[in-house]
Formats: sequence, C-alpha cells, structure tokens
Amino acid sequence: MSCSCEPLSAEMIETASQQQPRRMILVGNANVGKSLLFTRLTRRYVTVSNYPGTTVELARAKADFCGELREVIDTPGTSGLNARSDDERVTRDVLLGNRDADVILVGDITNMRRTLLLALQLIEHGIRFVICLNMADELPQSVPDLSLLSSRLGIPVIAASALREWNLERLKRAAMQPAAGKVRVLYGSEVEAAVADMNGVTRGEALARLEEAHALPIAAARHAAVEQLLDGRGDEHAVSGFRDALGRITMHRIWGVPALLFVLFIGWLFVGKLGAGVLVDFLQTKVFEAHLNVWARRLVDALVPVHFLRELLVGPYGLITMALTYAIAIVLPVVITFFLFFGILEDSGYLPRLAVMLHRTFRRIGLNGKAVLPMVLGLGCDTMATLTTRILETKKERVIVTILLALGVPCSAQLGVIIAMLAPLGARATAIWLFVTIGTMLLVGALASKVLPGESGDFILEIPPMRMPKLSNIAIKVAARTEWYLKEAVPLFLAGTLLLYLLDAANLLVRLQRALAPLVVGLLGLPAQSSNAFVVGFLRRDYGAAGLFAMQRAGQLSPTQTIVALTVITLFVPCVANFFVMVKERGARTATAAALFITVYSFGTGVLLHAILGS
Amino acid sequence: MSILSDVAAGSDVRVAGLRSTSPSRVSRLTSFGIVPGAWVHVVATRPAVLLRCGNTSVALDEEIAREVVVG
Repeated sequence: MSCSCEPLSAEMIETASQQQPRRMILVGNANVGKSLLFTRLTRRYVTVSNYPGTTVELARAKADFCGELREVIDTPGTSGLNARSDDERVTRDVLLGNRDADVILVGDITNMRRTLLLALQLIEHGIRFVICLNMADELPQSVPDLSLLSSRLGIPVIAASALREWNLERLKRAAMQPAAGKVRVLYGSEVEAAVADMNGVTRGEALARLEEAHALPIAAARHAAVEQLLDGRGDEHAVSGFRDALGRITMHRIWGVPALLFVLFIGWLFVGKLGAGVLVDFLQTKVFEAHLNVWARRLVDALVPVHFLRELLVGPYGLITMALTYAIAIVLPVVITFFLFFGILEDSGYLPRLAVMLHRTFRRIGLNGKAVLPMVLGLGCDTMATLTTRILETKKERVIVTILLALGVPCSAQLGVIIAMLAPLGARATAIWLFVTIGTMLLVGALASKVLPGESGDFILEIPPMRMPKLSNIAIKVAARTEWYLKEAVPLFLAGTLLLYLLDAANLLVRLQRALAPLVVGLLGLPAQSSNAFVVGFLRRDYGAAGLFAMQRAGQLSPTQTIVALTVITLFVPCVANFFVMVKERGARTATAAALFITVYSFGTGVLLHAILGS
Repeated sequence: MSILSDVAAGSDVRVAGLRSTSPSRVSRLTSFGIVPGAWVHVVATRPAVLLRCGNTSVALDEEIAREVVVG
C-alpha cells in the first residue's frame, strides 16, 4: 500500500459513509478476475445485496481511493451492453443509471480483443472510464507497452495483477480521472442511416436497439476496429503447457471419464469419509452424546422445575438433544466439507469442463451442459441451487432443473446421512439407491422435456483456463454459504422438533402413526415409528433422513427396510424453504404441481421397491 | 466452403459467415470472437465442438457449429 497521499482511517471511512460517496463501478467480461480485484481494492465493509426485482447479486463496499472515499460496485460479468440475460441487464442498468459514476473496465490482458469490444460499446454510450488489464501475472513475457493503445482509444489503460497485487495503486490513481474516449466505429450506410433516424438517444443506445436486426454487421465492424487498434497483433497464448494439458484431459471424450471418476472419488473421500464419517462420528458420539447433551440434561434438570419445559429442551424430541445435535453434529460437518470441495471445483475451472462432458446426457433430458452448475450446487443446498437456475436461458430448462433438484438431488446434509446409512449395507444397496435416483432423473427429465412446452437454450460456453484455487477466496465463499445454509436450516430443525414434541405431548403422534400405518407399514413395509421421519421430512428431508439414520443405528430397520425408506426420503421434496423458493421463482401453480408429483412419485417408488425387494 | 462441425480436430480455419437466424445466438458467438474473417482453432469435436479464438476457449453444441460457415 504505497499511496502517495494520506490514506483514510477506518473511522474516517465510517463517518464519511454517512454521506453518499461518489460511485466507482467495475464492469467486465466473466472470468477476468473482477471479483478478486474488487476484494483487493476494497478489503472491508463489503455488503452483498440483490438488485431490485432480481436475484442478481451486487457487491458494494466503501474504499479509499488516494484519500477520497468511493463506493465501489462489482457488477456481474457481461459480454455486451445489450442485456441478453438478467445478469447483463443488471450490469447495463447499473452503468446507465449512474451516469456520474467513475467506471473501471476490467479485462484479461491475455484476451485484449474481448475487453476492447466492450470498451468500444462503453465509448458509444458516452461513459467515462479507465481500462484495467488484469492477470498480467499470466503473461508468458513482460507486459507490453500500452501507451499507443491508450492514446488511440483516448482512455487510460493500466496493466495490473489483482492476484499479485501489482500496480493497483496506479490503477486507483488513474481511476480518479476517467476519460470518454475518442474512437468512433463506422457501421456502414444502412446501420448509420438507422442510427441517424433515432433522435434523442445516445449512439450506444441506438446501436443496442439495432443489434437485434443487424447483429452481424455491427459485430463485424467492431471486430475490425479492434484489429486496427491492436495492429492485428495476436493475443499471446498464455496458458502453460501443463495446465493446458490438464484442462484438455478433463474434457477429452475418453480421458474425461476417468478424470470425472477421479474427481468424484476425491469428493467422496473428502465429503463422505472425512465429513460424514470421521467428523460426524466425532461430533455426535464424542462431543454431543458423551458430553454436551449430558451436561445440558444436568443443567436443565437442576434449573428448570417444570417437567413440560425440561422435556421440551432435553427430552427425546428436545430442542437441544434432537434439533441442535442433528444440526451441528450431523449437518454442519457435511455442509462445510461439501462447500469446500465445491469451492475448489468452482475456482479451479473444472465445472465448465464437467458441463462439456455431461452436455450430451443433459441434452436428452431437455437441458444442456450449462445446467451442470445448479445440479452440482444442489448437492450442497437445493434451495440455493433453485435460485441459481436463473443462469439458464429458457423457462423450460428452469422448470426441468427445479423439478429434478427437488426430486433427485440430495442436499449435502441429506447426502451425509445417506452415505452413513449406506455404508454398513454394502455395494448392492448402494447400487440400488444410485440406480433408482439416477434412473429417476433421466426418466423424469426425458418425460418433462417432452411434456413441457418451449425450447431449450443454446450451449455456447466459455471454458476458462484451469487455475490454482486461492484458499482465501474459497474460505470467504465457504463461510458465506455455510452461514446462509445454517440460517435456512437451523430454524426449521427447531420448528420440526417443536412440531414433533407438541404432537407427541398431545398424543397425536401415535394417532398420526396409526393413520399413516396403511401406507408406511402396509405398502412400504416399514415400522410404524418411521412415520415420524416422514412427518419432519415435510419440513426438511435431511432431518427426516437423520431420523431414519437414528432408527437404523438402534437396529429398528432391516437392510431392505433401510433401502426402501432411504429411497423415499431421497426423492421427497427437500424442505419447506425449497418449496417457498420454488413458489417464488416458478410461481405457485408450477411449484404445487411439482410438489404433488414428487410426493406421489417418491412414495410410489418406495411401494414398488418394497414389492420387488420383499421385506 | 464447409461448415464448422465438419472440420477435423486440430485444424485452423477462417470464419466465412454465420447462418444462424437467431440474433441472440449470433451476438453470443460474435462476442467470443467468432465473426467473419476471424481465425479459430478447432481443439476437439467431441463431446462438444471446442474452439479457441485468441485466448478464449469456447464449447459449442454440434448443432450450433453447423451454422458457422468456414472457408
């Protein structure tokens, strides 16, 4: 931090934030390290909020720019200003709605062409900005002289590396004096005449409206202008041989399969063995059962004189002995290990490669490779994943993914319990469970893609180079996601336990078990007591699964009964929160129809499985 | 003149035109540098068509690659 001027102290930032500081907006393509640059420029006071009316997140933070306070806003990655997706619309609205803000266009220095395409559009909109060519650390040779490019554009251009924190102070100083640029692209007589006909809008706005009808000539003219700016010099091939080879193997039509299996195996070792095995075991038996719950019981017995309240806290359906034990001992280790693993996959660049590998399979169920992100994230939290379906282009794809997430993708908490339950049963049981779950997704997906009207989106996906994940970045994401998850899950765990406790206290639990007996005992062949699991399963299916896990451990479920119960609870609607998000994102009618279908399908599959496997 | 989906993996080709009728598809392709006159390197054709244009790698569905004319 070698700013030539006096930096602001934390208190000064705090006081100054009472007034509205000038805004500094970061824009750029996806995968150019924009978010890391944002973190490096701001360091603290980050708030993440949804853009009004959307689920697109905008990160804002106050930062000191050479003694002056700025509110820095990080926008979603965009490839243009004509707003083709929610993300791009938000970026465009933020840019055009803050005409007096300063703007930093962030680009990848190894990929100058795409940055300059965006720069030309900003100039046409009359936006004042500077260009930051990030990722200078990835250049195989020294940083090229950018002064000619800068003078041709009329815009300051600064090479930098957010990763190595190189040249960031220079960038900050330059960003205080943005420029409007002086390049003017000519688009041929037809487009120019149409632009001239549109009165009262900027050249940029006029061109954005014309892009629908004249996409190709406009794009071709911009590309020609970029070539002129760069004197036809090519972007140097920057990726090292090893990373390039690794990147290619992971999406090779043959070698990609063992690579995928290897990644799955590592995931299973990390989340299944370490998280759901070692850590859950330690927390549940050593920490909770051996110590915490014993102490809690003693403390409550000593301090709480009323039997009713004692039971509420530490009874068989106690808020501490049941809800918190499940939430912290069984759920938390799995959630944290999963989000760690997912963060590494995300930051290494493996997920887009997985999208390429699974594209053909996904096409059969009315989706394309891009659906991989919400589907894999669903293994962490289905509710969070349902929110990310907005990255899919068409309504049809969003509905299919929403149904498949709710039906067949167990969230990390549930997955942990499932792995623990399958472990003593062996390979045959695991194979049956996998067959039913994966078969269900392929079957229901294929049917849904036939039945639902509409189109599937285009599969055009940028594949970023493989990169070494940065631990600090992953840690931030794991913390944010785990916090989000706990805020969703723990209140529902408490509510579910309270419900069970009240039903039990009012003697309704026995009646409910009796009422459900024809289904649970008769058709599914399970003990009457397992109705409890399905009752709380309505609140959270992982909580239901945890109940089944406890029954299995107590020897109340035979291996066959375990498979049947496990399959039903896997295919069940994930949780109340997920249902509400389904309503919010897809509408009440679609969500209710999906939930009804899923309930019938999950119990139907259980009945069928019981009939086939016997008891 | 041929189409991109017919090009063998490992070759460098020059884009001659886009036959797509969907403006959003055209603008997405062009934003990755797939424009008439640009050189692209075909890295692989399976499991999806994989291109490198400059330093950008892009994966395309085969059906979309059929709309890119190269020559």
